[in-house]
Amino acid sequence: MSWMSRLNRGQTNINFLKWWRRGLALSAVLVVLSIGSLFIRGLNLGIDFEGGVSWEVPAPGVSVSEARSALDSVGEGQAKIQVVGSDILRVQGPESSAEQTAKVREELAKLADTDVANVSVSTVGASWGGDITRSAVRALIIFFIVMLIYLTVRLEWRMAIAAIAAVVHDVLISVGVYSIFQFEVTPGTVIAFLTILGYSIYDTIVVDDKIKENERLVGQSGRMTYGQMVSRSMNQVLLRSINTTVVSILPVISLLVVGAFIMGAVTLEEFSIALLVGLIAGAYSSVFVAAPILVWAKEREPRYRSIRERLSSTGVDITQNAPEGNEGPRVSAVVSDGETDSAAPRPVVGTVIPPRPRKKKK
Amino acid sequence: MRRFRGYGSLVTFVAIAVAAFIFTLAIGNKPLLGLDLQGGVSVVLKPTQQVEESTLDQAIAIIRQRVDALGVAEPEITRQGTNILIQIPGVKDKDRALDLVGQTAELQFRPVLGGQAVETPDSSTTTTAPADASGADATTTTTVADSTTTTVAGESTTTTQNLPGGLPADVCVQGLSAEQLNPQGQALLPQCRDKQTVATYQVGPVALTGAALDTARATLSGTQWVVNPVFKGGEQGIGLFNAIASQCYSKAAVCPTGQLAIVLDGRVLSAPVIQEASFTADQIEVTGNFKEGEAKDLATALRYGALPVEFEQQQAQIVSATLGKDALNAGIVAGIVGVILVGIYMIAFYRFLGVLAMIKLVFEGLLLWAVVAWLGTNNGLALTLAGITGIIVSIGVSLDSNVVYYEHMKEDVLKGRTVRSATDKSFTTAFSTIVKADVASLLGAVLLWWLTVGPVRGFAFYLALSTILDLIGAWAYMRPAVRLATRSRWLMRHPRILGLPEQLETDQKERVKEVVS
Repeated sequence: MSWMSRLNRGQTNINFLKWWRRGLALSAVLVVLSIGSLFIRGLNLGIDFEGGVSWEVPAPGVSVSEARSALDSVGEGQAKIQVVGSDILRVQGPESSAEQTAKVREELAKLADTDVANVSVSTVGASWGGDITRSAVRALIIFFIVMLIYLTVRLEWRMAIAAIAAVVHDVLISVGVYSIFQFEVTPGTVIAFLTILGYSIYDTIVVDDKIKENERLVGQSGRMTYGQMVSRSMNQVLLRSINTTVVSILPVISLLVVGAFIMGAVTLEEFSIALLVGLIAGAYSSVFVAAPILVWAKEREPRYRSIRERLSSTGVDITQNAPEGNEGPRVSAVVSDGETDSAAPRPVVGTVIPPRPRKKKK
Repeated sequence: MRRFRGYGSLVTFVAIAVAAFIFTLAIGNKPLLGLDLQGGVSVVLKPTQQVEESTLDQAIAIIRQRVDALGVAEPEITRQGTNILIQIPGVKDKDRALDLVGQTAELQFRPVLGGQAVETPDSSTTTTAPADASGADATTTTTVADSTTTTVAGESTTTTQNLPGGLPADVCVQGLSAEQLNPQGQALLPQCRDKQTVATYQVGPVALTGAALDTARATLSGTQWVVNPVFKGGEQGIGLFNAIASQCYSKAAVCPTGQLAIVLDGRVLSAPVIQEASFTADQIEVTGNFKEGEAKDLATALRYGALPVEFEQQQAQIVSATLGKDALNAGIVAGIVGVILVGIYMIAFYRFLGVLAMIKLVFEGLLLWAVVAWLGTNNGLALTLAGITGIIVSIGVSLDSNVVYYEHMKEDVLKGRTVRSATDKSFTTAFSTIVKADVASLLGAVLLWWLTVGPVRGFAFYLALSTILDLIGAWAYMRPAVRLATRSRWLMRHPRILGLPEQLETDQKERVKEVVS
């Protein structure tokens, strides 16, 4: 059976026990990089956070240097001038008087050979960004608390903590990406990050639900450690996780490529880059951060620790996936490293449900 | 087996979606576009000091009055935390709008050339001396003096269409244009109470503005409420005031009535008679038949100009209509391409079940359109670019529930369940997962909506809305639709087209048929 087809049937046998260690290591490196970059390079904050004036005008064919020399005459030669989207000229300068703002507007209209009404202006006081950040941070903290409570009630507190850890990881990495690549942070970016939070938990819940369902396998038979059970659950829901992620990412990619790059809507670009980064981090962290943290927390419970110790003492390799089927510990049948092995017998997942006997018709 | 009753919900869901959409088209509900999509002006004002809610509400009322004067269809003035958000979509004269909203000091002092009381419809029965009852008369003096007004008692006009001097009847609501206010020359201004004109004044050029004032307070002098304005020292303060005061006191040509009108936003607040030729900056008293509230309002107006508290403009945006339209088009095209991409993926992966998922998306889309259009038409809730992004993201949310369900079915079928029994059995488990996950998304969106400002709310609102629609769609449409599909013999014989793996054990009924044939 091909790897694809096994993936399709939820019968892959990837040894997540091993991949988690690599995943956690990778995450640790990324988080350290992110925090480091945040301290060294900082964030490229848009005018919304620092205060200032931004003008935008559709100006096909006008170059940045042309714009600069034209703006020099009204004393804005030092302004930051970019061409964003397809042909939109964006000029950003420090806070200035209303008259100065209007003067620049007229100059830009002249330059772009268009009506003054077509020049957009955005004036931001320095405290605005601070307000947005404060309300975002507050939203973030309350979100964490509410999620912690909600997940504790619906699942259990260890899963809640693991899920929140994964989200914190997502936020750190997303901020890190913005710092490393120096993408401009706008209120749109903040919005996108905040919205990703709820969404990133979606994946984790799908996985956790499956783990809950499989928990009894460990409890009843004691034939596998909690970690092995979670690894098996991961294999079973792998396609589900991949597909929910693909289905969510495709529209966002369309926003980025079609909306922002081809059609030149700048705001869409702000949203979609943050969404994309957040979605990818969210999908990754539900498998490689939330799950191992959950396993680590669970295996400290006496019940699962004793199973682990017992299995370990009977010579079962608990660093590998548990063998499939009902025949009990069977070290020989374990696929070497969880990668494709077409020679392995087709494993039957879980317990086989016999066909339900037909009821007699009345 | 118990008869399955879910088809009713399927029919209801489809019927409601289609009916809502047709209804929306029929009565012409359209989504209201936010100003980032249709162009306009947006301003965020932040008070410079701590204020009470009532003060903010008062400020909002005054700003609304000004914005209404612009004659724009859907201005939105809301309080967000301690900030005031003003959004004026589609406004033509954007600069004037911005000026009007941002201005905190529109207070002017203008000499009165002549005045006239107006008999208002609701006061006509009781008012015998309109000028007196209206409180339009007040006296400015260093000592307490009684009102000695020269306001002409109105020749009560029976028509309420136009006020004397040709002012429109609703001038107190609409305000006057910049031309009519004519700060350099003469103007006819109304005095308003409860949006009714109680008097009109012919006034001369602006003598000084609120900038000359330092502060003002309302005090109780004996049994009378009086207002004490305090002017700034020097030529630009008390000097300006005394210059015009001496003219009024001597009833010179520029101020024949001896009255100096205090004008706010083009409306006369009070027109006290000047009782002395010269004043000391902090020894001025305006008296009249003020009630406590009136005196305090006048003091507040004198202190802050038009608004009861000083604001700083935190953010101001002028969005050009062209840029807005470009953004809208980009959002729509990106959305359509996104749906097509996702459709190809879903159908490639889940075949007929994928088609069912896309149909669900279409019905949810119809419902969403109806809700958005209804809210836009009736509640003035605008669809912003952030909202459109939220909707596009929610395509993923909606299809996720299908993926979870289908994968569960696949797993159950591989374990040996028949397709038909998996349809129901998997739904129970999958739906519980879907609810858990959707509620998490919903909680996030609600928190965002509740805790944040501006564009964040638009995004959160539409994400929450589509998550709720997804829950409804998953419950009312998904199961019965999949069940209907599994009723089809042809689809059951072609599991690759249905989108599920072959059953491990053939359904017994099928096996019997095979043996027979």
